[in-house]
Amino acid sequence: MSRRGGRWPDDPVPLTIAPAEPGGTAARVRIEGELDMAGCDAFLREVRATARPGRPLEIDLRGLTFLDSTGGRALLAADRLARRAGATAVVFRARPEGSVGRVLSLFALDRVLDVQAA
Amino acid sequence: MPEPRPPVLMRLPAAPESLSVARQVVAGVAIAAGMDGEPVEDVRIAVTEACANAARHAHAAGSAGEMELAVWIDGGLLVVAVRDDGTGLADPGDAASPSGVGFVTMRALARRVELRAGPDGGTEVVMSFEIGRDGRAPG
Repeated sequence: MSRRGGRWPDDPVPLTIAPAEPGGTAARVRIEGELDMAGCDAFLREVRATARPGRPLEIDLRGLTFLDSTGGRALLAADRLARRAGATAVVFRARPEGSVGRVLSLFALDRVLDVQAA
Repeated sequence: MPEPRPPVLMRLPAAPESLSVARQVVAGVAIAAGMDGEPVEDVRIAVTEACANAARHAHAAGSAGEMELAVWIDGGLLVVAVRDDGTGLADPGDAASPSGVGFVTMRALARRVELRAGPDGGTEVVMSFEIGRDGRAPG
């Protein structure tokens, strides 16, 4: 996946959402690439499919290279969705730099959500 | 001051799939003008917010609308204009309204944001960003 490669008009949006990996106690969702309006539905579908009652959910954002306010709201929605599905905790792992850190702090998401530095 | 350059003009579908392309082109112009680091990230976010609102306006209009982007250098400023042919300024409470999260974000990141009704009933947003730390382009 190249962020600088040509992909207009037919290539897919550069977003990778990986299913939970086996092993460990936490269910995991890993998201890489750019999260904006185009990828939020797929991201939330994955959260819905992965969250398990009685288990914590870890959402790995370390491979995220872009986040805007729509993506930020999707993180809030993911937290709510997972808790409603019975997840005992929802932990976001993120790098604090770039647009991801900017949006997390601009909307105080890093205080509302359990965001842990990578 | 940078050499005067002609504006970069783009016409894109007013759709979520256009956002990534729009921010990459505008970021390219910003970098070519001498910006780097966090200010370029701010430009990428703000452009995405403006284009997401344009896509929301088109969706509200129930049409596969288009949006137009223009990027140019004005003295020490990078100026980005986004115009759509959607439903016009949305109602308060709507995510794409002037009080919505998108505009709050643009206002937080750009030096100046102007919002007005477009010539064809749509919405036009013009944002400017300082190119250099002191408001002037390096060099």
